[in-house]
Amino acid sequence: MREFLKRVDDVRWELSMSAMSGMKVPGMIYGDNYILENLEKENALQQIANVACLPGISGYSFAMPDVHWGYGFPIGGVAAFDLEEGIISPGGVGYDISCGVRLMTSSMGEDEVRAQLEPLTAALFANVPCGVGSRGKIRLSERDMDKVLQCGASWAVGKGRGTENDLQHIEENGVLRGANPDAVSPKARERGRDQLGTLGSGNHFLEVQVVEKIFDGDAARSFGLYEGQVAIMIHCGSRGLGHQVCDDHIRLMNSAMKKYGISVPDRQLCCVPIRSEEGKNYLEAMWSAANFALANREVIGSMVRDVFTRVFPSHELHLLYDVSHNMAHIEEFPYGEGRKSFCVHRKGATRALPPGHSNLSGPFQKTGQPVIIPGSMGTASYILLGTSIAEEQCFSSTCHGAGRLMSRHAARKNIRGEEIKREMKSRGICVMADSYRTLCEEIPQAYKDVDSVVDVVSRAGISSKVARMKPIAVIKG
Amino acid sequence: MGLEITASTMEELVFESAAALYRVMFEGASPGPFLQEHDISICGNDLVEIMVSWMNELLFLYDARIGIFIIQQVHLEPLEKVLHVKGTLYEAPYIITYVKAATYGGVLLLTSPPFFRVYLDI
Repeated sequence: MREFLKRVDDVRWELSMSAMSGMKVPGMIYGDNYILENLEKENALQQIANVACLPGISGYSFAMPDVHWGYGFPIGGVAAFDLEEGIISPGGVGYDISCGVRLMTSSMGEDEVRAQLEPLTAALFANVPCGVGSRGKIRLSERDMDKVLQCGASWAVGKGRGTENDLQHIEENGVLRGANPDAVSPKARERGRDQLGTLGSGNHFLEVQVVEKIFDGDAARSFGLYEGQVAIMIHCGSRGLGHQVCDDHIRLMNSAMKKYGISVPDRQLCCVPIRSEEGKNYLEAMWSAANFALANREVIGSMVRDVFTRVFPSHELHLLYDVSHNMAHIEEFPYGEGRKSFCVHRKGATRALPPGHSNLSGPFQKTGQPVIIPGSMGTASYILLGTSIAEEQCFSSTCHGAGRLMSRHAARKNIRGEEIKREMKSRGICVMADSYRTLCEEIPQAYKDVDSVVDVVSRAGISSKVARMKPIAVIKG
Repeated sequence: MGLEITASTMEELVFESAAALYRVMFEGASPGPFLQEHDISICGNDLVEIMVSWMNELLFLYDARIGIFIIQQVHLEPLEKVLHVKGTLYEAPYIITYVKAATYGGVLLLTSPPFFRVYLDI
């Protein structure tokens, strides 16, 4: 399919509509030669073209530089749909609904924390449940589950597991207003009942990091970031509850598509009109699952605070920002002479709102939205900012991480968990994991180089760099 | 990760697909104590959907109840597109490979002779 790619500039490539019959818009890929080489090894170009065939898609079928093969839609894909003619698709959000990242900053320096790094990491590992099938300390009654699904992070704050101030530092102020708990099935509730306050497994993590480099002094000052500062990054999502919501609605939509005369090139792209009853139900259930994820990260944040203040009694952690990278939102954008609303699917892509956007809370009105980009295990992570170029070009979207290069199966063939732990230790990184197998699956070689990914979005102008973080401790499920 | 399963009947294919999934997840470890009797009914638009949903139902039982489902009886009604499975839920052994989902990507189902290829998201 490479022959259908036309270079737009150094970091943008257009996939022509002649690449595949039925494409309604072209594809737009953000990437340099390194990204394109890796893109070709997978089927992701085909998936970008498949998404471009969906009814009501607007502009382009976008691929961020961390794009790779996913379930129906590629991971790293962005697609915006007209609200009247367009569709909503669970495959465009992903199984881990509202999987996302939060960064909490401390007022401590690296040396101070390094002196207590092993006990701190051990205490975090002991107090934040992680790993496959991990169960949390919170048992939700049906009534509490309804409240979590309705209120998101503010439920956690109400229970004393977070602060009022946190809410201003979470996308949508910590709650998706369109959620409807009645749209979440009993199976999804059962799957999530014991999982609130758990990290999960796979690429989810909790890291102690140090601000290694500041690129934008003004933004960093405004966020309270400085070189040498210690911070905590948490990456997790809606656990089994979100997974079941996705599974439930894929089954429903596979049945419903016929009635709406929709046919898709890949069964995993099953979808229904946004305005249909099934579409409304999915949006309500998906936003409820997103609230579960926001509450989950707030609860984990509170556990981390408890541990941190126990190890370092006179210090506190402040939430810088919390943002999802698997989500669909109804958002308004400049369109012709006026503005128009679209349903924007971001799967493995992060919303990146520009300064002055009405969805941003007070602290971020001047700077624009912080975008948190987690790297692979043992590598750098970044804090970026949303820009007006992203709003003009790609529905206020940017990348979400390094992006996989190698399957989990392939990754674990070549290395042993103990070796990784030793290698990390030699680099000054303390690692604790529920399973050595996860460590093998998450080796940095299994991912693209996060510096290259961030370099592309920065050169394209769809995000700007604020700070680069390096890990000093990693906790994996 | 892909699975290819062959059998002499469709009912046996249902049984063998569960066995194959559990081999990936638990690598042959024995189940723990009895949890509960459990019946599963799945309907779909076609047999492919039923088979993929069947695998995902087993993943649900692991994730929600840490259970492994031991089949006692399989009844497939191909015309009505309904699958009924009677069985027992036991406590799952230590998991080796966590499977997130059975997917439709590259899925292939043949009924004569019965053959099922499915890719797992791990």
